[in-house]
Amino acid sequence: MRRHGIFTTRRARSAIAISLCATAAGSAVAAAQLAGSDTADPEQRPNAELTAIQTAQSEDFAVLRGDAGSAATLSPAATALLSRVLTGDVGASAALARYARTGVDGEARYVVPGRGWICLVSDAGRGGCNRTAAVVEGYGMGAYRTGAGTVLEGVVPDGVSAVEVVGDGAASAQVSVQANVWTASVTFTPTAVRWIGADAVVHEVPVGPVPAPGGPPPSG
Amino acid sequence: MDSIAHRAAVTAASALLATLAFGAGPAPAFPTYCDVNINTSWCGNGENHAFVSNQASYTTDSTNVWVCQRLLYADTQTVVPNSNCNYNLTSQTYSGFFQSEAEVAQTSGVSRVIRGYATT
Repeated sequence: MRRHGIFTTRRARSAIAISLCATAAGSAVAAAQLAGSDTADPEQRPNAELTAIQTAQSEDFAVLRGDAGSAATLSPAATALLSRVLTGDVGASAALARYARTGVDGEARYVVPGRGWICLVSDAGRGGCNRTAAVVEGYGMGAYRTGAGTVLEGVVPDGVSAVEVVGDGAASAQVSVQANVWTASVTFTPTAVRWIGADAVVHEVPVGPVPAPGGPPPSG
Repeated sequence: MDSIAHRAAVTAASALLATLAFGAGPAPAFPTYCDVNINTSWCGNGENHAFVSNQASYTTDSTNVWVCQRLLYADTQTVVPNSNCNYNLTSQTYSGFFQSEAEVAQTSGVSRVIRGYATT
């Protein structure tokens, strides 16, 4: 057992057998998933690519209606992320992807719909996905660490113009939403994200711990 | 009793169990790994590969779970840049130009089954 910071490493060697069983089970139902359904199950990979924006997605996200953002030409890294994992996982469609904005880190952000899921993908080949209903509630959110702090990113529904990132003590930062997407870079430890929805209700989504940034490759 | 015959029988039984568990020949541990209950811990199997992507996901139910993925440079504690976290599914592509170990984690405070998926 090794320990890494706040996390405790536990090598799950026994998971090999479980994984093999799961893989076999997944293959057995792959044909059914390829036939397509409204909601993809990542555990039943491969899922068929979404062919048309779903009503539940377009009614809450202007960027997916074409009312905001623009048609996307994905970067090679974003394309690779979809083809290697996200299309098979949740049916994320490169053809239906929309460019939303350039983030505070200089990376372009694309909103990519899948079967019952919405993904936020960067041109650096990073992506996060959650079920459409969860994204409507603000849980289409992710984060990564840099040498200077933490970069956060997320998708929020129509009617949200700004997002506040809060941290320990009185620390906070407010950022604007563009084409349903927000990004923020903070030097404090973020603990939650708040925003006021079109329903005038304050939504608060907690931010979990984010791994420390990596160092250079070991020499030799 | 610890005769040679007894030891041979134990060895044979162990081999049979291993075959039943992993099938014939070396067992591929990727692309799917972990897929077991974890809680505030990193989970991997320690194998070194030239990964081009790594992913952590929680899809057992509709609960929103903060999941993270990372690579470690092979046989080190050094985290490869571009680890990231997201609710329920987080992914990252990598160059594949180096050997590394893939790991996933979750920090909900409750033990949950987190699936790792890494490709080479």
